[in-house]
Amino acid sequence: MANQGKIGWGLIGTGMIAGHFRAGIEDCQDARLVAVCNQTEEKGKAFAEASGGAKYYQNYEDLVQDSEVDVIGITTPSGLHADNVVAAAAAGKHSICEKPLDVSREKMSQMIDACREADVKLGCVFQSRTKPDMIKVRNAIKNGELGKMVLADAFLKTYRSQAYYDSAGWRGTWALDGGGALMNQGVHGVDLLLWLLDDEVESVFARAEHKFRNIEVEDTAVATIKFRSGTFGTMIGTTSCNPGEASRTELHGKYGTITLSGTEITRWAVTEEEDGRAEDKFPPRSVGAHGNVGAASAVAPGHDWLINDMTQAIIENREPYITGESARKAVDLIIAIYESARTGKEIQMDSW
Amino acid sequence: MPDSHTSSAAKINTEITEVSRRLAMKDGKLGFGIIGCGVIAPSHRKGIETCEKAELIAVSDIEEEKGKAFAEAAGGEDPGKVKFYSDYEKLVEDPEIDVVCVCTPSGQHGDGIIAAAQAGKHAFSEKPLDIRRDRLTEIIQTCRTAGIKLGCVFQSRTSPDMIRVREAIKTETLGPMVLGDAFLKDYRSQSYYNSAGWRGTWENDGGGALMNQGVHGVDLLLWLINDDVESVFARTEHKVRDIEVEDTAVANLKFKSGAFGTIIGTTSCNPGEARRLELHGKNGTICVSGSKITRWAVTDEEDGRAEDIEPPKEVVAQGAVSDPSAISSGPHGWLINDLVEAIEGDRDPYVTGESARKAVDLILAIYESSREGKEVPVYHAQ
Repeated sequence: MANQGKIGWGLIGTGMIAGHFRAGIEDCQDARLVAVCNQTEEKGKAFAEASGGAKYYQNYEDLVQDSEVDVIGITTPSGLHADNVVAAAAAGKHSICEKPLDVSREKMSQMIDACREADVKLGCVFQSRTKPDMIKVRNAIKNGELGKMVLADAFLKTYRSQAYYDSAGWRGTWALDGGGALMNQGVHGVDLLLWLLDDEVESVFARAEHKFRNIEVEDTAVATIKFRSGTFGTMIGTTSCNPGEASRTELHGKYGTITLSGTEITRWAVTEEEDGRAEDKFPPRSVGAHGNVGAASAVAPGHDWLINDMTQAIIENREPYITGESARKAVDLIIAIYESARTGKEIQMDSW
Repeated sequence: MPDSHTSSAAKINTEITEVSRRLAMKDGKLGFGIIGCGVIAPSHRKGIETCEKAELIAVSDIEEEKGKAFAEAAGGEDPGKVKFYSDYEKLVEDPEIDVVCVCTPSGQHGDGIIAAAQAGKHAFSEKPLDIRRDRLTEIIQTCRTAGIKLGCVFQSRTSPDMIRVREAIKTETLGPMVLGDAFLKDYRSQSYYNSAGWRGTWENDGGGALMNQGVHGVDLLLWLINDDVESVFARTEHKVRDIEVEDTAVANLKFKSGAFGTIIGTTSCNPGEARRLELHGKNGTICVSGSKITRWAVTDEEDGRAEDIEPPKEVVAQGAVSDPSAISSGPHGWLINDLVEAIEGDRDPYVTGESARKAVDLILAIYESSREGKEVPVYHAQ
């Protein structure tokens, strides 16, 4: 371990999300920010200066070679994540990406393989998974409290104006965003649904189109899903709902229902009786431990939590809380949704 | 090409219409009969009672005890006032009867309606109109040929709030539509399905969560968005109930306008959620819970963000009823009142057979897609 007994962090990309990474590094007693990188020198240097004198690199290939850097936080456009990670792995550095892991199946396989071969960690940010309430929901479903699952739905209805898409050239492009309403805005909700349900998608039929926005990618997608357990599911992802709704997740089993608004539990109804009617209850207070973090509330949920977890994973030489394999599932599903929309056919995830 | 069959049919139509009008004038009231004295029949009875121009003449049921008890109760102080028939074919022949309410299991609606039409009587069917495509066509054609009115009960369409929503979408308040979603997450226990032998059977119910419970929501979605579904991909299964038909269905819709849509219909959501419809257009959103508006957000600006506002207060006149909110007799009463006025004014009732079959045609396409495992076009009559 390098330097003052702390894990050295480098950041590729210095946009808004990089600020969350930096805050997480500052809040972690075992981490320190060593260097940052942005192709645009002015932006990168300003960020470095505001980060207590972190080093600045114009090229990420140089940053990953910095001997003080142990782990890289990646906040570049989604379609560049794999390139960054593969370079980091080749230099023997760990990585954690902002969501999504990448936007291509081949590239996700490449980055995961590169990290395994180099024996470095690969993590991804899906901050909803760090919320204590979300861990309660996942545990309840895992423990069979809702019984056999019937339906798992995610309604991800947000709003982005045309002006938003026009505000940066890479927004709404296949090459850099890799998709639209689902890949970009909806991916959190897609990941959350898959993770809470703890089930694999067997097949999907979907429609996706850009209905009102002048963009390459979809502004609206509707997916009809069958999980391996037999559970049905629906995902509605759009950025053209005006003015937009809170994202909702609705999980229904034979013995009960849990619904969420964002990451807030809005309903928790269960019954223990066969053929009984579920009754609304308060969710349990205690939260099961997850990752290697005993007390889930010890670090604030979100980027802070995942930066700390990655730092500890390196120190303890264990898997990070969210692995590359786990993070790619949402992206694989979204790509299958696009494929189904293009072909008009249901996609079988196994044989695809 | 001259068609003697058509012209003689038209002549008969005119005669039958005349008979209907004559009958209508008798005491200023139309005589009603009810076929099937099950759980929904009291709603029809009360609807008839609240309509000044309607009078219940007779009821029929294959179970004599049940039917007689219903008839007696309907007579009030005069238990002999409402006649009982064990055979609906006799009921429709009763000369005092002008209109027949059909409250039998869904798969038998066509029998009652066609018998009524052939006897020159108007028909008022419980939802769904019937459960088979060919039968729906036969029902509608028979009624048109006989020149009698055919109405169907979709009571959600009588809600003033729902009329406001339909009008807003029709007048493009929301702009071009993006999404039309119906979440119909209901609960029925296994003991419910066990409580009557015909429940949950293909033969009598014609389907499950969608055809039976969800059909109101499916009809409402189609009626509010005022568009037809072009194609559908769907899955249906009985997941946790021991029944023939589906307890859970999910459907992925494409409307003719290009709008996408979702229907989730289940009776296995425990404890069940309020029915929700979510309608999104380029310029705004309207959400519905039950038959109440819960969100009304619109913008007038190109690329503007919609803002929540109070829904409009006024309600556009529907059918012959100038102010639907003034009717306090409940939805069945509203629709019966409308049917009586339709007969008197010789116009179509508020919910026509052609309009009522749309929800059934869509549900049948959903079942077909699920069986075939692929997207299918939705059948549209005409």
